[in-house]
Amino acid sequence: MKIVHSKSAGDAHYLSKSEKPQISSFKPHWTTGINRRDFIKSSLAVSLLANMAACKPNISSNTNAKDTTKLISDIPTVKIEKYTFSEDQHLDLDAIFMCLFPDDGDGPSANDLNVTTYLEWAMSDERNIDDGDPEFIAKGIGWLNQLSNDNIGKIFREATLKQQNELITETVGSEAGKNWVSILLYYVVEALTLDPFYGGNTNQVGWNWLEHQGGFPHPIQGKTYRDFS
Amino acid sequence: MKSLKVIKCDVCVVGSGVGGGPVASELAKAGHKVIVLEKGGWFNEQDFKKDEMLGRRRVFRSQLEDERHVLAEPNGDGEFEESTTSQFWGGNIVGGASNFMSAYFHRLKPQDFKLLTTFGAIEGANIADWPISYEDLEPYYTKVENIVGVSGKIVNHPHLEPRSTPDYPYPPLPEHPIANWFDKAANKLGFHPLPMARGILSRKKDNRNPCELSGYCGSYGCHSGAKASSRASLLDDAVKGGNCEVITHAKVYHINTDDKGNAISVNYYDINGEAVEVQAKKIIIACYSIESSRLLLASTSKSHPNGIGNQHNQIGKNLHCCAGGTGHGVFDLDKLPQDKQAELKVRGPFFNRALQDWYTIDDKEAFDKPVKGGTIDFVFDPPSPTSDVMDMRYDDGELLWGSKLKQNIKSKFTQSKDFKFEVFCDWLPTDDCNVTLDHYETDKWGSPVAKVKVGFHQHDLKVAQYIVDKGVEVMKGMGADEAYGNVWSDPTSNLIAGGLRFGNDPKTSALDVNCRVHGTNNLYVSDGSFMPNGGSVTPTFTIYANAFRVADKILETM
Repeated sequence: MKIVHSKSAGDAHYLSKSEKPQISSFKPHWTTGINRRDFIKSSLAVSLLANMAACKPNISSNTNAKDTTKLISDIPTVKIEKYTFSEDQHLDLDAIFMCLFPDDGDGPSANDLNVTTYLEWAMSDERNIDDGDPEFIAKGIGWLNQLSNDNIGKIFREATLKQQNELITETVGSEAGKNWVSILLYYVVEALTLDPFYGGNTNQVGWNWLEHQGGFPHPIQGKTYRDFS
Repeated sequence: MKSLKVIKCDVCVVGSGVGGGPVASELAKAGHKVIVLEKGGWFNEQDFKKDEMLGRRRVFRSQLEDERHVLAEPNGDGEFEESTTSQFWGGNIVGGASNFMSAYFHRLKPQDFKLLTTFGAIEGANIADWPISYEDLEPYYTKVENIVGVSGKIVNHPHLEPRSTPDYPYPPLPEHPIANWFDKAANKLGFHPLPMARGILSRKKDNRNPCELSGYCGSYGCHSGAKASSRASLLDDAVKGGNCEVITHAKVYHINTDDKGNAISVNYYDINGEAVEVQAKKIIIACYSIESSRLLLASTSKSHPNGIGNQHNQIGKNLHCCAGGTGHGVFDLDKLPQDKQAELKVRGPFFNRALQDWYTIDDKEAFDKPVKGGTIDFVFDPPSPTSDVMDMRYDDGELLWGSKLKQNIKSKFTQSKDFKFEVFCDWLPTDDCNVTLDHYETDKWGSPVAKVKVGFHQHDLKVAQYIVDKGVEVMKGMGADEAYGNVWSDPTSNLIAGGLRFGNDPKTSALDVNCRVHGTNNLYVSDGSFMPNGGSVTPTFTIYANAFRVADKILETM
């Protein structure tokens, strides 16, 4: 039996499952072909990942290993209790997000939108955790860095912009890679368009770029979607 | 064994939306002790922020994992394909879905009450005249306009329904400049542009403030109290009056009856999952069409072995959604002078235009006899930038990123403006559109969920296409660079009615003329379930009006 979401006359759009890639469609081309959920759960896959991480001395495999407070921006409105990603992963994510949403002279970049910080906050959302996003994103960083190491002998964030674009292009060439980049773009879009209260869209820079007028009143402490969920 | 907690009152109303609110309010006002049982929580204006995440996460609505429906849709091969969905949950809070309505408040017209007599039978459709006339309901439309607050302006047109008052009690809401473009285009085409009435206050009423014109209406809760939700317009005051108590987080799962078949009480699970019984002299069900049918079907007893009022298998039959379609007019800003660009970019005021020129279609080239037509509403979708941009990550299945993605996003938001219309027609009731209890799926309380079968009649599509084409014509007349439209065959997630048709014959209806369940003397249904057809407009205004009528009929028996 499938799950469907339908139209509603005079109504706004609900979050559609189709906005996130279906977990079952995830099949990394550099793994043995098992799907994302199975991959995460599989002890074989875990050991494969451990080996992968062991090959990359600069990349932490422990996502909560360090206090990375200094590396990401403060969000005065929402509090991040516990970081999902390591210091290295924050640096990786910064580079990946800047490639996906660059500083190209037209509108805000991922850094302007505070995407990495927003992602950290979003990873504390139970729905996103249930979707497996924290593990998926963390593992994908490792895979991208492995691909980068294989291709050019250095990790992604140390590559030139041209090399980074080539690496992303190669990544989205596979269904698995496309799903992973799509998930990251999912959070870029949220950081671009959601209320600044949630940590992205700094000073409404996203809305201003899109000439979008946000609604009033804005969410406030104690009246966010998480408070009502 | 722990004994069941019992509460006693004069009147128990199940559901606090537009069907339940008027009955609770009127009966409490008349001095009766009323208890309203609402499955959701109580939220008010201070909780309703203009936050897209509230809608994206379905906050204030039931979650799929807790409650769902089994949806059986035609697959195009003459069979029905089943899925589970949460799309029909419109608002799991006090006031129900009316908190999140757009509040297009059109009245029905006299011919809607006499569809069979006026237009004749259509093979495969269960069309029936109503047991009441427009004249019977007219005073209640007027009452709704005054009590819950309707704003608008009456202009004469060929399909204007008779009114006992010259105009709406509240003046029209501020209009977007596009409305002027629309009027000129429609007039030039020989159509009759109408200001659309809304269940939204344009000036202060008691404790409710007028619309703040944020542009975030529709699926967003109202921060000012202007939107005529059942909670803001009725229940707030009813509770303050002292005779009405709203019990929240109360999931009603059974209606109990005596040996004569009359209702004596309802059982609900409270917030802790404990069962509670409410005993009342009158019991009124108003849970939204699907759920009201479900509750009656689930309430079996010795006197009602197939569910209450189901002695002739009428419970859950003749459900109807809202047929019609939607269309868009896209205006390229760079082709317009600065002043016109500025007009299109205005955010806040309402479009609020409608066309009803084809409420009856008399066009021999399209139909061999006059047929019931519909309404076109020209409206703004509530802003949802996150959802809009999400869709842009892909272009023909290819993932976009980098500057190309940025350019597309920028272009969509700043280079053009998209205006929308919605067409509303009758979804003809058929034997293939109904509610039953599913044999496999249960909700989190362990009760069988409703199975909603949504077969449609081909006639609906033909009528809808005829009117959608008119909407596209208007958009082109307004100068849209791109104009297009499509008809719906899928069910709308809101605007569903019927399932417990009212009528004089118990063999062909579930409720009597006063919306009392056949075979009982004190069990009523006051939501949209009673409607034999939905009319060619959104049904909320009519549900409100009929609920006030039902309240009067109940009062006559007390």
